Amino acid sequence: MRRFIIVSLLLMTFGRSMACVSEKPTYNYYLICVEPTQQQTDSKQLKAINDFWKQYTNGRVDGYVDGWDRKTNTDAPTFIMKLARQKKDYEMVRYLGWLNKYLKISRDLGDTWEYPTRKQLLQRKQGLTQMLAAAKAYRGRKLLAQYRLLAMRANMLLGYNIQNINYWKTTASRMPQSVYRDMMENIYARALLKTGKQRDALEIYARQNDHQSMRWCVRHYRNLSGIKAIYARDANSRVLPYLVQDFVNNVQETQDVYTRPSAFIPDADKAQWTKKEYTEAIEEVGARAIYQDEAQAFIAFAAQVLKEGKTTTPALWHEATGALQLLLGNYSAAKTALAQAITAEGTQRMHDNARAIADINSVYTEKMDEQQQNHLIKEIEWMRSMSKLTETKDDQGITYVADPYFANMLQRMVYNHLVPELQKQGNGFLALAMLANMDNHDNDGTLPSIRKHVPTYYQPANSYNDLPDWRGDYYDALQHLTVDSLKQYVAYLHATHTDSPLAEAACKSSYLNDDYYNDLIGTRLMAAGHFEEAIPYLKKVSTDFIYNSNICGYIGRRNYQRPRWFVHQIIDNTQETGPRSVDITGNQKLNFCQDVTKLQHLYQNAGSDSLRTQVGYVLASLLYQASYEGDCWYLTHYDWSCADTVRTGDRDLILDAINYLDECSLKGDKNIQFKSLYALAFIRRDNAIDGYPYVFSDETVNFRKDTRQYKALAKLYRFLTFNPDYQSNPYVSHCDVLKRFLEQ
Amino acid sequence: MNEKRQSGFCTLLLASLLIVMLAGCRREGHTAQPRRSVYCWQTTFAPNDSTVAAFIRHQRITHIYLRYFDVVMTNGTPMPNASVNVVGRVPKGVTVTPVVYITNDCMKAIGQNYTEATDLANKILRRVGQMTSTLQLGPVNELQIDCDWTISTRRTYFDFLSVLRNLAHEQHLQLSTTIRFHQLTQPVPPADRGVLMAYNTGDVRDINNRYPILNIADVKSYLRFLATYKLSLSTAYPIFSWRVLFRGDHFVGILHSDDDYPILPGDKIITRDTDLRHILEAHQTISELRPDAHDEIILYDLQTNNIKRFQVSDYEKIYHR
Repeated sequence: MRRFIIVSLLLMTFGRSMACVSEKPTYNYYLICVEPTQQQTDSKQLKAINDFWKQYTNGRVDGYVDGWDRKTNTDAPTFIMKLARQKKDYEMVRYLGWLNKYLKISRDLGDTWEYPTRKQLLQRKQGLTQMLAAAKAYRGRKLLAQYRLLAMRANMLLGYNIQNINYWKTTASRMPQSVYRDMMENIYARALLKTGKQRDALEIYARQNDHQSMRWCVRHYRNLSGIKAIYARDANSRVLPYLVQDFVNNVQETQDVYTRPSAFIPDADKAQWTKKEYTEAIEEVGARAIYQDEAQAFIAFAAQVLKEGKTTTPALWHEATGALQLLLGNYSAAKTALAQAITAEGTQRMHDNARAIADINSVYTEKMDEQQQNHLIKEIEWMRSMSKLTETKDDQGITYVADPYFANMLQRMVYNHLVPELQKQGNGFLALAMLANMDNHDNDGTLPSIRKHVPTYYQPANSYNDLPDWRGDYYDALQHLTVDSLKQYVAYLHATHTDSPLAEAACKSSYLNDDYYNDLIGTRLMAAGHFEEAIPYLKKVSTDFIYNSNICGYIGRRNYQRPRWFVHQIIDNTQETGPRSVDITGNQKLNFCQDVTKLQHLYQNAGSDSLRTQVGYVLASLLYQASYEGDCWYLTHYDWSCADTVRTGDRDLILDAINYLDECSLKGDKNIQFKSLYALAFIRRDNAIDGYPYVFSDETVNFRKDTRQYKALAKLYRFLTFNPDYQSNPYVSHCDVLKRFLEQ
Repeated sequence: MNEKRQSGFCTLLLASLLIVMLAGCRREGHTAQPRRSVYCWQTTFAPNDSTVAAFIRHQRITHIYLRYFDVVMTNGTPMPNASVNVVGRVPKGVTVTPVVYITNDCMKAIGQNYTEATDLANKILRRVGQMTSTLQLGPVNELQIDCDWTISTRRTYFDFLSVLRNLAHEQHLQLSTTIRFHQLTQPVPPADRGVLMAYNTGDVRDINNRYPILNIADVKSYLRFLATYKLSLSTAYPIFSWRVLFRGDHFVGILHSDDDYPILPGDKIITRDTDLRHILEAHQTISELRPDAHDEIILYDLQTNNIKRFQVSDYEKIYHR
């Protein structure tokens, strides 16, 4: 199931940061891919055509339809026409005229709300008739293939299917192999289809990997009956690999939808779904519902096919059987079938598919001993190398993996099978190391590694969301560790594992940047309220690392010493908050820990109430700033949400602040008392007013008397009554909430 | 026979004739022959095709309901699809009503969005106008909308029809809509008139249902709403057949061509025909309940295979009031 669900949690942004959260991928990629994908076929065809234009224009344009000459800022058709004229290549000029006409008519032909006028229809028909005549009259050699394709295209748009069948048989099929000949054959297949020869058309579509056309032709054959019927017709039909692959992947899709409908519709209530709704969800992604009975029947049919011995690709049938057995949880049977698939006659792709699926299956059939670990190391390396083989560059020179199948299988194996199994076996650190290893090599699955053992923060990134250091499976798993476990795990990463080749390999190729882990441990300790303990870790973190971290923009623009209840440090939406977005000096987290530690000592040893409350108030202000309600939330976390609460393992810094403030509001000088009472009335925790502190001038507010904050407001009100001097304090006179409270 | 007796006999005869005529008028009120119409639902309409042309001529067809295009959801937007291609000219004396089939998905997508409903109505009307002009099918006096709406989409569909009817009236077009039997139980759609689709009455998936195309007994429960249904109606009768594929008595699909579905040994292909007897039975029932529904009788649909199905005399019976 190749689907990424993006859920924009806009509620979570609330004016602070554009924290759109993307749900992590399911890694549940389809098991079988024995045929090149439509995209791959299209890219190959397009490349061949584009290469022609590139060559003709000496590299100035990349393609005809969407191409562009950047030097002259001209679109490809205009540029090429001009170039052909300059070259006095009138043969090309004439052809381009027809090509442009064909492209325009093709575009106009689609069903749109604008229906052509009679005149336009007539002109279109005349244009196509002339085009056909010109194409047939061409006697040159240079553009012969293009002109013949043009003839078939004109016939097609005129609806002359019989003529196209004859033209292919007598003329076009005799052309040498080229992309133009392939396109002509595709038009021929369409003509066959239009004249009722679906079977012949289908074989051509299958041979050409034209999945879109094939899928339409076999829309009622995407089940075991369809496979049986095609097999009975021709045991080696080119359509069978497509149908078999489709069948197995549909079994998976059906399982996926039944086990996780929420993957489609976040609020879906599985219990309320009818079979029709499940089917609709399955078909929504172009799949077909295939249930267990039919999957079992397929396995029996595949056995019969193999027994009959008519197929030239038994590997396909073994592989499909193995994949289905794996999906059905029959790992031992899957192992046998996949082993047979690897050695049976078939294409290399089928063998490679079977090998990748067998690797996934081995997680369940093999004991995680040294032999299996060495096997997994070898296979992971193999999948990566297979992926690497298809690395290519796009028009902009950006490297991408053209065939993501092996990268996908590796991700599926590690994330969905190996890691959960290791965790089940009590080998959590190895599971983590495997996640680290994947994170380091296979960030996006379809892309080649962008990390290559280089710390991510040195990689260019526009915003922190692009950095995998603070998102993804590995980071999430690290966040779930206790601080002690995190420390132990970091030691595990650096250790030698002579007893576990997989651990040794995983740790060695994992992301081992000390700054990253020290910052992580230090931050976790801060969140847990262990500020003094965090200092040695944070001391080791370089300024350069912080400058390149996801929260750089906040660190550089906010000051934890400014009390939140008096100042809200707003960062304009236009300002970047990600790495290198603002200059920073030093490590603010370290400074914070040192300040708090010093203040805590001072508070504990304060000889007078006055000093104690002065220090207590500052401590309260700092702790509140570092909490999820503060402006400096980045001191204790790498992300923030308006729905935040005290996270598991974290210290309730807001409660600490309240406790300090409670004390300070009773003792000490009037100023401290006032500020403390004001702070207590401000603190959002246990709100007196919905939405506070974001109250708009025209909003009606309801104060809830049972809340802590209501009581705090009442105390502040009492204080102001007895100390009228403070009523003119600008924080009092400008506070809308207080004003409304007083009014009520 | 003496003169007096003769005169008395004549008086009696005239009186009897008058009584019969008056009684006839009172009972039916619709003595003229129905307008003879056909639906054309194919993507290519070739009125000059010899079989089609002969049928139109011999059956004295004066009106064709021509499906212009469908409206289907494409990339989240209602878009036209499968526009008809007209090859040849419609015979003289034959008028055309454009029909647009809208999938229920479009209605689901529009929901209560009035702007989208208005936008769709405008687009349909503009396209129908352009097609009529381009394909030289005018003048047209009516536009028909076909949609298999359900209770959940009824409000949307009715709102859409209201908008469309107002817009159509501005262009002096009447608006009609198709009415399925089950829709008779629902409120009347805001259209100028309707066409009762006297077909698809049974469950084609049921191997034991021999006449799923039309068996008036299958829609008996809806018939009580027919007499009082407050919309002027015409009636469309089927002349098509289906080749239905069953596997182990389970429905697989309707075969439109030999390779449409996989056919395995043991499968059954059953032809479901429209039985003349059933058409006439339905005809009789509808005549009794809603005689005005036979002011126009429409055949569904004008395909070479279909129109060869019955004898000329059979069509006379169907087209008869």
